[in-house]
Amino acid sequence: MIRVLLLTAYFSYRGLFRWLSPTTYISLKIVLPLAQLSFFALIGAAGRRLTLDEYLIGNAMAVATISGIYSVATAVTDERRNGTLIYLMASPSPKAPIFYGRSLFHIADGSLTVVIGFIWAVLAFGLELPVGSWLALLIVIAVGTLASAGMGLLVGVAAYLFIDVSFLANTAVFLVLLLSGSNVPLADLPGFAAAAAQFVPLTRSIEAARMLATGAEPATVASLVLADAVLGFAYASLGFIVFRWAERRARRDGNLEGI
Amino acid sequence: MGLFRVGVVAAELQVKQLAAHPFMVFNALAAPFFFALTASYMLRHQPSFDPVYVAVGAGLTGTWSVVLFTGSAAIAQERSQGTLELLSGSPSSLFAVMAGKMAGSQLFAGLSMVFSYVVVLLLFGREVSIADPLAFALFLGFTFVSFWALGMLFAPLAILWPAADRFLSGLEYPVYILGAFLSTVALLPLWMRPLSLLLPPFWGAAALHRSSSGLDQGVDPLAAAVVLMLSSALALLASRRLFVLLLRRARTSGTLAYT
Repeated sequence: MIRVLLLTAYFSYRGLFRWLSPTTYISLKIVLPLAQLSFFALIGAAGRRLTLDEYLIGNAMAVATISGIYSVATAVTDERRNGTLIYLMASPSPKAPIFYGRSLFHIADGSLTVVIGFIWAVLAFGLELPVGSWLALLIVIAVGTLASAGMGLLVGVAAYLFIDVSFLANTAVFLVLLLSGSNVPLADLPGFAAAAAQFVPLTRSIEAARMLATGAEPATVASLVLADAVLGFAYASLGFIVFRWAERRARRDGNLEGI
Repeated sequence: MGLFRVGVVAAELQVKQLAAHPFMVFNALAAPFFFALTASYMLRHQPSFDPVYVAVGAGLTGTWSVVLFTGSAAIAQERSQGTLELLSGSPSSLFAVMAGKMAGSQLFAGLSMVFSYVVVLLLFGREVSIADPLAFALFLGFTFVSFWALGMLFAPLAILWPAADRFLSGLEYPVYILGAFLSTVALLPLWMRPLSLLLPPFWGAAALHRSSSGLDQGVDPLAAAVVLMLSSALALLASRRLFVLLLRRARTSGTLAYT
């Protein structure tokens, strides 16, 4: 099981980037996230609803969605585009490690991108982070990316059932940017949107990261981090349930095109 | 078939293809919707906030994304469809076909402006009005011509030099920022400000914001018109030369690799 998990993790990640040159990787995984962070931080700086530091932290954390949601969802749906979905469905290998393995490297890679986002915020915009908060912040970053990856797995499977993955994944990324509190305080959102924000991965991780940056003790943010971890696992589990349902349907109907 | 008719047919086909392309529909409609919504919530607390500023800025983001992505993929897309060989061998000018194709992209991209305006209108009701409609319409025309000319330049650049293609793929958010679509250059770090002046989208955005919401970024409207027209002419001249180079390479090497 562990071997299947690790092999799947490695090949899904490599498969997504094997044909890319380092410049493409840098463009997609570093320039894009940093530019997205800067874009929203600058709008925030003009609006001054929150402090610049709060926008920088929120958007540095939101960078996790690029790897966590977009890359993971693409790794799942690329099975169909690459013509390997049929082998995956027919394979006797246990499906859980294959399914969850899709996200493993992207969680590590995405966490690294978020760290780069924070470094950029410090160097380009003068964000100050207390040294004592760094370790706890790393844990928050890892959990936030994991929670995003949980949603990415669900979005990837949803793309089997509905429409183009890029549309679904981009919509999910923009919903997180709107509802997670990274750019708009939850108190400013209409009631239904504020309620929906509680089901958005990163909502609590962003709050935890902001608390740590202002000197809060790590223990005080533990419940927030735990809640985001649980939400991420819930999304990933729901994704796996849908995946197994789609698999059963494909076997019953002898047709992979309808799923 | 006259060159004009070739262009019109190519434009019509491009609009139809883009309308059926989920990623492009996302860029033209869904992304500006999210930008307009998010930026509205971020900026509305400012006493000087004018909703039309958000409508114009969000519209420009969608317009730029569609032009950037369709321009840099214009020739590669023909290759993946299997129509590049027919196009290259046809007596119709490839330049004219691409000019029509990019005009179609620009037309489709223009939906972003309309859609963003409608979104902001629905959010803010009667408050949304354009300060100087005549100047706005004039500069919208100049800006669209400028974006179209840039798309014409990106098309051969991206296929002749893969490194240029990779560079272009990372230019979405950086141009939103340097073009000051939804923020001002005054918020940019000092070393970044001269870069804005080199970009035609900055001049277009500055002139559109000035004529719609009165925001003054220190750009004289006449200077903006001159820069937009001159840069468009230069981009078209460079594009024409690159198309000649591209076809020469194809004919001397006997392949459509172009690189």
